[in-house]
Amino acid sequence: MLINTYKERLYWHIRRIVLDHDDADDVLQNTFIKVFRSIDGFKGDSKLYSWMYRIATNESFTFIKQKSKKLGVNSEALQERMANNLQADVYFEGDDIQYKLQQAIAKLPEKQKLVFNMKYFEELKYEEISEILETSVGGLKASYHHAVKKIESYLKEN
Amino acid sequence: MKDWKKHKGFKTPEGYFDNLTDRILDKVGEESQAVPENEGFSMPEGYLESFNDKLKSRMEPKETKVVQMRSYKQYWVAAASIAAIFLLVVLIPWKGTEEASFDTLASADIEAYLDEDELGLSSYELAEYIPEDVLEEDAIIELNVEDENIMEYLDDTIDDLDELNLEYDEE
Repeated sequence: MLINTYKERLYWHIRRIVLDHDDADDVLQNTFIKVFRSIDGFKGDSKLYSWMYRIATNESFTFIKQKSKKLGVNSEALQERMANNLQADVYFEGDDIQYKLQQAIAKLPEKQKLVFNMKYFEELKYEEISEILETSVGGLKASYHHAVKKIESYLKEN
Repeated sequence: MKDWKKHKGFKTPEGYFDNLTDRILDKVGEESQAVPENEGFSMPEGYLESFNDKLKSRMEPKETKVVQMRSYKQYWVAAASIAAIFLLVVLIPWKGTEEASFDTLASADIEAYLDEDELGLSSYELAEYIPEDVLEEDAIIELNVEDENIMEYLDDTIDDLDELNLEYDEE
């Protein structure tokens, strides 16, 4: 029941971070495994969905760090490389502007990237994002504002 | 400091300044029409439908076939090996390394060592080390040395035969 309710939302959240479908599949499975193993430790001080979202976010960035370590590059460089490889990805059907958008997002710092994805694409409220990322609403708004500016600037220049 | 409240006659809606920041920032987001709404990602057909089964198979503990790696036979072999080693150590007397001494060295080995001039001593220097009581006159006098050997020795060691002060009849 838990899987059916949240798998699609969590998949897209993960996919927006790791970009590749197969990687997203791995991370999604890891997320649910961790959820089931840690469910006894869930204190209920946040919503269950927020807790699962947080696990999915951490698993995504852990995956990227591990992959970058294997390749001998830093995680920022890997994410930019992954964005650049999207045009050759079978499961990316975006046009040129959507490709450039992913390249712009890949250049954002981790927090700004998350806030932008969750606010712009997933249409979460700032209060929901605040519960997931455990950051103040004011801080999130500032991060979102900076992210939008950077993306606009990148799209105009490219 | 300026008193910003000096705006006689003008009023603002209740709570106007409370959420002004949010409204401005939201507007900034809305005006970003250059950013597409869709990312362009897709997924394989039927992926979500098959995900549950895939996750279930990964989470189920796999039955592993237990293969008995060890047998009692190996224990017997190990015990027999230990017993054999013990017997070897106890029954065979252990001969420690003997201290090397001149008595054990063959005289031929000593002669060969001296011939190779390993000591770097001349015959005269070497003789100085030999006590007189060891040197027996008879051992030298009674030696029968062939004339041929004497000549060969002289030829090797003396460059100029005049050094010998040999007297011979000049013819």
